Amino acid sequence: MSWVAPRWLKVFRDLWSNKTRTILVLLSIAVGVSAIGMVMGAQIIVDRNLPEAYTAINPASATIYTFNTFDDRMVEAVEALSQVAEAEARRSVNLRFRSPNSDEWRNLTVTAIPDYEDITINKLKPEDGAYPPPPRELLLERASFGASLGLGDVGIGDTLLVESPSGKQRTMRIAGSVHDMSQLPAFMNGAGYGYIDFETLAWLDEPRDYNQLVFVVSENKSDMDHINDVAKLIEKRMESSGVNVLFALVFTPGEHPAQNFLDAFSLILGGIGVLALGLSGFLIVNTLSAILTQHVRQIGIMKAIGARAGQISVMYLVMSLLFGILALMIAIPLGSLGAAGLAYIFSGMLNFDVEGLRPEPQVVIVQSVIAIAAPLLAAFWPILRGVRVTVREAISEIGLGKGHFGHSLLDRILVGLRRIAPMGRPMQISIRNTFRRKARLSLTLITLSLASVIFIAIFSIRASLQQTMDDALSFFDYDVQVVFSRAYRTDRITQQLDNVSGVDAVETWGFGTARRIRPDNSESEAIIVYAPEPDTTMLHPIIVEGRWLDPDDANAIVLNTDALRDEADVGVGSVITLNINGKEMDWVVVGIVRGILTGANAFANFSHFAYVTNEVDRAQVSLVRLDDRSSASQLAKGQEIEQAYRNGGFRVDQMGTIDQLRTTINTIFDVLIAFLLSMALLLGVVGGLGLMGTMSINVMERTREIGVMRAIGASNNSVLRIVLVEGLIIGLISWAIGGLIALPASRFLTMTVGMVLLQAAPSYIFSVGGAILWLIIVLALAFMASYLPARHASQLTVREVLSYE
Amino acid sequence: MSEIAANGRRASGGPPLIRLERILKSYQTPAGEFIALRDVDLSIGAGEFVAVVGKSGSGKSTLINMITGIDRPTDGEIYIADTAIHKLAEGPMAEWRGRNIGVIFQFFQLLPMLSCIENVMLPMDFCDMFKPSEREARALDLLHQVDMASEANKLPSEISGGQQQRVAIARAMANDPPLIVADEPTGNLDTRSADSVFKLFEDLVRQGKTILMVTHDEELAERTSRRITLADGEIVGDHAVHPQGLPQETGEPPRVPATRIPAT
Ligand SMILES: Nc1ncnc2c1ncn2[C@@H]1O[C@H](COP(=O)(O)OP(=O)(O)OP(=O)(O)O)[C@@H](O)[C@H]1O
Ligand SMILES: [Mg+2]
Repeated sequence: MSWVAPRWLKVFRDLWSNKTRTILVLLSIAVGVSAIGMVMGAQIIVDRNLPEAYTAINPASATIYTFNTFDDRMVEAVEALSQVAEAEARRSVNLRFRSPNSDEWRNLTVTAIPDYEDITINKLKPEDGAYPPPPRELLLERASFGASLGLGDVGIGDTLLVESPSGKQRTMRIAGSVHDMSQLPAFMNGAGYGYIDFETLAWLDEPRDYNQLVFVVSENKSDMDHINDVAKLIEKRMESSGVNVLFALVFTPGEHPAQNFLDAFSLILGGIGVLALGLSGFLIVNTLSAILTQHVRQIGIMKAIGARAGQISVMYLVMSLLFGILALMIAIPLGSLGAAGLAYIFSGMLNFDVEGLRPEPQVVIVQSVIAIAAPLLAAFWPILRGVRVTVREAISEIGLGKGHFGHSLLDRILVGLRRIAPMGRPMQISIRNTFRRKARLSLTLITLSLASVIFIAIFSIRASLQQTMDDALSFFDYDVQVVFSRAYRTDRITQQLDNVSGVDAVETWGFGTARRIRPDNSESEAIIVYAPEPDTTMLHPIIVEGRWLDPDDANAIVLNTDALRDEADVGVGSVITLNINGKEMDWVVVGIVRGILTGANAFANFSHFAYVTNEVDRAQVSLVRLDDRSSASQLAKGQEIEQAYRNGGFRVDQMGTIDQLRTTINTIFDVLIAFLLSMALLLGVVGGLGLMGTMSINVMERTREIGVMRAIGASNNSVLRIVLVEGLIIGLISWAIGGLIALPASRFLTMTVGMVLLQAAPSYIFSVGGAILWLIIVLALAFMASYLPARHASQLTVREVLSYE
Repeated sequence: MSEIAANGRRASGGPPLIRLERILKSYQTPAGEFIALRDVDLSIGAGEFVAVVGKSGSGKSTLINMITGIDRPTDGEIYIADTAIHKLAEGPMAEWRGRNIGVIFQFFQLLPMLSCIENVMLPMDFCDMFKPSEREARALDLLHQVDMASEANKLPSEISGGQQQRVAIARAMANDPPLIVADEPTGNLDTRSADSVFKLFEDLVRQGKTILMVTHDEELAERTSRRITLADGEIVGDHAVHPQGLPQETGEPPRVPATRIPAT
C-alpha cells in the first residue's frame, strides 16, 4: 500500500481501530439521513399515486344527502343547470348484518347505483369476483374486509344475513369486491361499504328512489366557494320541489376525502425527520470532539514533526467525510425501504394503490448532500479547536483529570450536595462525572430531552383527543339512538319500550336542517337543528353566553359556537331568519353553547319546532338511556330495543350506540397515535444512540481513573454501577427538562394536530401518565445505552488501564 | 481468601508474607516473544522495607505489578500470605487488593472530582471497611498523619504534587492494609517533597507495615532495609542495607535470600 500516504493510512486505522465508536457515529448519521429519506420518499410516492388515482375516478364536486327521496326527473333538472356538467343519483341505506360466524349485528352502508356499466362520477373499479353486482347479491368495498368492521373472517362467496330498515331479513352472497376511492376509508366510517342494484333494493323492501345526488360543476372545478354556491343553488331547487336536503358534503376539490388526515401525518413526520437529523448532527459533534480530544497528544506530535494545522484539519475533515459516505450507504437503501413501507401504510389507510417503489433520484440527492454536509459542518468546530493545541499543551497532558472538575459554580454546588443529601463516594463520583464534560452533556441532553418532549406531547395529544371525544359524547347523555325511516307519534315511540327492561329514560327529539337567510339575502351553511323536549335530561350544554331554552319559549333558539363561526353579526338577543324545510321564520337567539366537534348546531323547543315542520307530536328519533351503561349492555340492549321497535311495526333506519361511536373514533385516533409513537420511538433510538456514544466516550476518557479505582479496591460491580448510575442520571435529567418543555409544547402540538385533524380546537389535557411512562422508558433506554460502556469499563484490567494513553 | 494479619511483624522463622516462585513474564511483540521477567524467585517477610532498583526497562514495574495483581505472570506462582493471587479473577482480585495492599502511583492518581478527604474515604466505600459513620473521622485522622488535614476539602487540582502524593499515601492506608506497594512514588517530586514522602514511609514501617518501593533514587534506596536489583528481567542483587535512619526495634536484620548471579 505504498501508494497511500502514511497520514491517510492513519485516518483509516483510526476508523478501524475503534470499530464500536465508528459504528455508533455511522448509525447516528444514518438514522437522521434515513429518516429524511423515508419522509421525503413517502411524500413523493404518495403525491405521485394518490392525486392521479383520485382524479381518475372523476370525483364529485359535492354530494347532497336528502331526508326524503327524489327521482330521475330531479336529476335531469339538476343536470340541465348551466353550472352543472354532470349529475348522478344513488340511494344509500344502512343495513344491519351478521356474518356467519358471529352473532353480533353490525352496520353496513350499502349504495344502490342505477347502472354499474355507466358510472360517470365517483367511478368504481372492479377488483375481484363478479361485476356488476348480480341480483340479490352484493359487492363489498375492498377495504371493508376488516375485523373492526365485523367483516374480518368473510370473503367472496360467503353469505351475510342482512336486515333492512323495514326489518326484512335476507341472506345475501358476497359476489365480489370493488375499489371505491370516493368515500372515507371504511375504518373511519365505522362501517363497511356494500354495493347492490335497484332490483335487489326492492327485494329488500326498500323504495327505488334516490336519497343522494352527486354532481360535477362545469367550470371553476377547483374553486370551493363556487362549488358551495352551486350546491346551494341545487339544494334550493330541490327544496322548492319538496325534497328536504339533509346536508351537502363538499370536500376540497381534487383532494382525497381523507387528505386532512394525511396532512396531519405529513406535518408531524416532516417535523420529526428534521428533528432526527438535527439530533444526529449533535451526536456527530460529540463524537468528533471526543476523537479529537483523545488525539490531542498525537496532534501535538504530528505538529512537532512538522505537520501544519491545515494538513491536520484536512485529515480529520476527510475522516468526517468518510463517516458521511459510509452512513449514506446505509441510509439510501434504508431510507427508500422506509419510504416504501410508509407509503404502503398510507395507501392501506387511505385505500389507494401505490406503484413504482424505487429509490427516488431527488431523495438520493438530498440525502447525499445532507450526509456529506452534516458531518463536515458538525466536525468543523471541534477540528478547529483540536488542531489549535500547541505541542507543549499536548505532551504535558498526563495523569488523571481530563474534563477539569471543580472550576465552575455548578461543580461547587455538586460538591456541596453531599452536605444536604448524605451519600457514598461512588454515588458522588457518578453525579460529578455526569457534569464533567458540560458541552458533551448539553448535546446529549438536547437529544434525549427532545425525545422526551415529543413522547410526552404525543401522549398529551392522545389524551386530549380522547378528552375531546368524551366531551363531545357527554354533551349527548344517552346510550342508544334509533333513527326511523319516517316520523312516528311520540307517545307510540316512548310506549313501545315500556316492556323493555333496563331502560332508564326514553326521549323523542325533533331533528332537521336549517339555513340562515342573512340580511344581504345570502344563505349560510346548513345548521343541524335538535329539538328536545324542554325537560330533557339527555343534553348537557356548556353555556357560553345567555341562557338555555325555557319550557315556554316559542321561537327562541340556542346556537353553538360552531354555528357562529361564519355569522359574526349574530349574538344573544339577535333576531335571525332561518329557512327550515322551505319555511322562512324569525327566531330569537337566547343563548350560545360551546360547540364540540358536532359542527354547526341549533337547539329549539320540540313543540315549536314540530309546529314549524308540520310534525306536531311526531318524531323520527328515539334516544334511550340505560340503567347499565357498560359497552356490553349498550350492545345487547341496543339490539333488544331495535327489535322491540321492529316488532311494533316501526321502520328502523339506524341503530347506534354511543359505545360504537366511541370505538370508531378511537380507531381513527389510535392509528394516528400508533404512528406518532413509532416516530417518538425513532427519536428515542437516536437519543439512546447519543447517550451510548457519550457514555462510551466518557468511559474511554476515564479509563485511567477506572484503573485507579480498581487498584484501590473497586469490584466489577462497583465500576459497573458508577457508570450505569451516571447514564441513569443523564436519563433522569433529560426527562425532567423534557417534561418541563413538554408543558407548553404539548399544548401547542395538540392544538396544531387538532386543527389539522378536526378543523376545530380540541380540549387539552397534559398526560401525566405519558410523562411517567416516558420516565420508565428513558430509564430503561439509559440503562441499555450505558450497559455496554459500563460493562466494558468493569472489564478493564488495571494493567491495560495504566498503560493506556 | 485470607487476610494478612494486620500489622503483624513477621515472626522469626515464620512463613514469608510474599512468595514468588519461578515467575516468568513474557510479552508477544511484533519482533517475537519478549521476556520481561525470567525465572524470578523471591520472598519478602512481613515488616520489611524493600527498594527495587534497576535500569529503565529492567522489569521493576513488571515485577511489582505481579505482586499487586495488576498484571499476571505467564508462568509461576505468587502467594501473599496464604492467597494464591495468580489464581484470582479480576473482580475478586480488585476487592482483595483493596483490603490488603495500598497502591501508590508515580503520578499520584487522585480522582479529580473528589476532594482529598473523599479520595481517602473511597477505598473504605469500595471494600465496605469500617462503619459508614466512622469513615470520615478515620479519613481525617489519616490526613492528619500525612499532615494534610488542613487541605481535606480541597480538590486535587488545588494542591501541589507533593501534597497530592501525601493524600495518595493516606488513601493507600485507608483500609489499613499490611502491605504497601509504590512504583516510583517520588519520581515526580522535587527533593524536599520526596524526602517528606519517604519519611512517611519510614513511619509506616515503624508501625509494622511492609513496604515495597520502586525507585531510581540511590540515596533513598540506601535508607531502606533491603535492596533488590533487577537487570534484564532477572534479580541480580539482593542486599540487606543498614540504614542510619531506620530503627531496628527487633534487633534482627531482615532475612536475606541468597544472591543470584545473572546467568549470561
Ligand atoms: N505490554 C508490553 N508489551 C511488550 N513489552 C512490554 C510491555 N510492558 C512492558 N514491556 C517491556 O518489558 C520490559 C520491562 O518493563 P518495565 O515497565 O517493567 O520496566 P521498568 O524497569 O519499570 O522501567 P522504568 O524504569 O522505565 O519504569 C521493558 O523492556 C518493556 O519494554
Ligand atoms: Mg517502571
